[in-house]
Amino acid sequence: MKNAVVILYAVLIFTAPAVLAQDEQPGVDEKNPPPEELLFRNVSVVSAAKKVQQRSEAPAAISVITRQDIESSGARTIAEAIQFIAGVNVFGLQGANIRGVGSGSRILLLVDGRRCNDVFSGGFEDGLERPLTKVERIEVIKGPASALYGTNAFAGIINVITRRPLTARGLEVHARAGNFSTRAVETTWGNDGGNVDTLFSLSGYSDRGHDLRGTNDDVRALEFFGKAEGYGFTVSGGLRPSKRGVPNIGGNLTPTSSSRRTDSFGHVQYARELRPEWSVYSQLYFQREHLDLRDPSGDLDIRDLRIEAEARTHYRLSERNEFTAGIELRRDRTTDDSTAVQGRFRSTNKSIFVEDELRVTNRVRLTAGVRADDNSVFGSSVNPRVGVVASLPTGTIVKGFYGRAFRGPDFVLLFTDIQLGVFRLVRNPNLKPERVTSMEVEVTHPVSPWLDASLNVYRNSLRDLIAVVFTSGTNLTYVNRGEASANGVEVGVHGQLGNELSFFSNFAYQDAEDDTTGASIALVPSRTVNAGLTYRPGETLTVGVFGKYVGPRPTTDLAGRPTSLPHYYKVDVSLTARLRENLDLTAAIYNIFDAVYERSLGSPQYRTQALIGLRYRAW
Amino acid sequence: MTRDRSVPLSSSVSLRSTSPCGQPGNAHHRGTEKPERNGAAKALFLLAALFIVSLAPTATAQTRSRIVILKNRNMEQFNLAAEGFKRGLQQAKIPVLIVEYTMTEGARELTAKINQFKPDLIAPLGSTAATFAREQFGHIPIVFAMVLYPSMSGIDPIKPPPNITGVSMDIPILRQFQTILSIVPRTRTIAVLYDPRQTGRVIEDAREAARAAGVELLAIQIRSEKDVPAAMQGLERRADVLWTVADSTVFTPATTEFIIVYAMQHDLPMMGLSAEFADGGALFALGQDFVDIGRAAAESAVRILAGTPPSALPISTPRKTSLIVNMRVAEEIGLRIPEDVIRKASRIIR
Repeated sequence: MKNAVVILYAVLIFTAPAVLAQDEQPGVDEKNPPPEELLFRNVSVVSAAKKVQQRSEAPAAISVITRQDIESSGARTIAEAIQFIAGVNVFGLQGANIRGVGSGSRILLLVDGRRCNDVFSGGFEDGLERPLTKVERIEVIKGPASALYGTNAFAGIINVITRRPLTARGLEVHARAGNFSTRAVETTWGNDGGNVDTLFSLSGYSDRGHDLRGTNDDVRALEFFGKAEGYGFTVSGGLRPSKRGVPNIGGNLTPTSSSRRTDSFGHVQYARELRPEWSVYSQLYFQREHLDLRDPSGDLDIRDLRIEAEARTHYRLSERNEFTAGIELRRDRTTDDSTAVQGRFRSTNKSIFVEDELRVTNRVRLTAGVRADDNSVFGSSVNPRVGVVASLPTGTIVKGFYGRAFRGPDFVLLFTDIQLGVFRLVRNPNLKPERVTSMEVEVTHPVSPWLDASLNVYRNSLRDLIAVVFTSGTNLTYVNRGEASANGVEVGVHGQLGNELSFFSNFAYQDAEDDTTGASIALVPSRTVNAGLTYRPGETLTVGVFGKYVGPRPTTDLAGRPTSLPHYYKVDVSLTARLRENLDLTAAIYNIFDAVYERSLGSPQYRTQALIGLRYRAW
Repeated sequence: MTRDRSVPLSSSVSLRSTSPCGQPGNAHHRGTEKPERNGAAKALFLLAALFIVSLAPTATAQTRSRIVILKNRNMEQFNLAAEGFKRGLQQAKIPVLIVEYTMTEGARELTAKINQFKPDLIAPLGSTAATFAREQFGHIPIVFAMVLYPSMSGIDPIKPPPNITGVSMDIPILRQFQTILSIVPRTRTIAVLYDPRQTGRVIEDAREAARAAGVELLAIQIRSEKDVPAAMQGLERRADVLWTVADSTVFTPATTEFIIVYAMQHDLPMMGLSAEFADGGALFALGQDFVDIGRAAAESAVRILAGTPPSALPISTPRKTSLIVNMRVAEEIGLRIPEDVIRKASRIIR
């Protein structure tokens, strides 16, 4: 009987296909669909957040500043280029926060995938002053992104993509001069070499400073950048020495205060499509920074070195499912030869991350990812992120995200004591990472063929925020004590009327509060408004007007009493006029109405500045 | 029933005068009998006429045209064309009886069903449906729609089988190249990837169109999807624009993304196959109006049902097309779209 059952099953198994098969199926062959059905296939450039992707379907709230935006706005630095994005607060030419969270090491600055946050301080305040001559595009990802990028991707990411040799072919020279003895020259040369394309950029900048808090705030900087692409490799390197006074570092100013800084890097990337459904990417880079600060309150002589290697793979498991996985190894080292503190500090960070993107239907996709970091100094952290993106038939796109991120304590907090006037900030080597949990919903809708609108609502819960507390007398130290929440709404429109006129406007409401005390978080404005208009009546003229309103910002005075910085608005105007085929006249006036405003109490920002220049292009 | 001539009912002409056997004047005249026979004949004639008239509505009800709509599958695009087809028939006030099938049923079963229905006309929507109809129903008029590259369905667009006509989805290649030139005026070389076994004939037509447009066509052959990455490598140096043909060897789900991403990353303007491609990252695309394609097919169907042979109606191309431009991609690759193109575009993606 048993044998009979086995035989019956065998017969069924082997004959089932024939039994179940219909007579000749004239139906559609899925492997060779009829040609018209190729036209109907839902096409979306699906990729993990680390690849070039279509912004509308990316599982994140992304704002992009293109090369065209940079040139029409007259932006001089990365900070100026991103200042009009809703939820991004930039002060002067330095420093930024995203949705009320930031100030240096809580935002990750990437350039072509290379971390540019300082090893010692975790910040990048000098980084935002980089010239834009070699920049193709800047992507600002708002919200925690540690699931892919680890530490520092706490409030968001500023991702700078440099120009490619093929898009910067030929020679471009842009020379500008303006008040405060400002001189700037930026030169780019791109070459199509057949199998290997190259790009070189040399920039110089100097001004005598705006004398905002003293007279030794002059700046001189030189930057050299080179890039070669070919055979799947991209090799780049750069050197940037700069000299400035100390307003952006802190400390007491004297006529003899000065700082010198030298940054250098070398970067190799390799990308290859092994098969249409399988690609690999790897990168290896080193980054060195040397900060030499001379100030009566104490000298700093800090040398940072970072070496990082990353490998990742992207695989299409099926038409609906894609998978990305990667590993990272990073070594950070700081050598501090300051007069106050001397020492060497090291950390090693090992990470692994995975992300899966599933197209549930043709209109809905789910993304889930997680990253685990193990740091030799502050321990481990695991950060997940999930998101859903739905494209409605009306063209409306709805996104929802949940994610966690962390920011590891920086070397300056862990290993260094700092003298600030009469006060002494004492290190705390037992600090833990800060954590944030975020939820967000974004809706974008094409109101008409020429107008898009967007709405974004978010809620961030921050824990273990590092705060400064008094310990005894004039000594302070750092502790993980703070809890805060930052909630907000961002509304925006973006439009284009023909090829002549493009415009945008956005409003951000931010409610950032210390959960322990109920006080508003310092320096976060509750409301900001940005608006811009670019008028391009032909090939020969571009005029841009950009304005920003920042509402009052809470702060405390030197005695610790609550106060607020008043609201302000500022307007920038830029113009580009073609004089001849290869020659443009550029002019810009920044803060045209001479708004007086401060980054923080006692830190006034730049007044009206004018720059006029000539840009020459030859192919 | 026909009448040889129109004879007023009140006519006094006797029936005998129309008899082929009788001669005029041979009628029997029998004095008093003649008036009775004339009256009876008139009555009979009147009854017959009334009978014929009363039959007229019934005859009309039996002459509804029977039409089969046969779709590749139940897809939104085919459904839109079917809708347009039905609306076109409605507008022409043609009494019809329509049944719809999709190609997911078995061939034998489908053939039997259609034969049982005895259609006056078959409207296949899609290549698979058109091929099936051509092979199985050579004796029934066929008006196809939503077919791209009809030659791949065995339908020569210049000399189709005598029972077949229709509306293809092919936008004339010269028109496509002219659109490319309007968006990227510096174009000298247009590249295209293709499998000669699939779209070889399309490329032959494209070479002629390229000559007419004054550009060079760089047609790169591939044999399998694995050849796509190597074929794309360095294309941005050899061509100014990437044109696309609906070739299932070139455009698998994996290679489609690869091609679009490659083109974007290497600043190569790409003309997509359809609006979906423009949404997905191609710089621009031309789209068809599926409802109007169905409507145009209905117009041909009406004429065929009225007696025009299909061979007298040439295969036509879409009457309405739309231009979709992806401005984000344009910014990404550093391309300035001419103002008049922006004005003419049906949809701008930002």
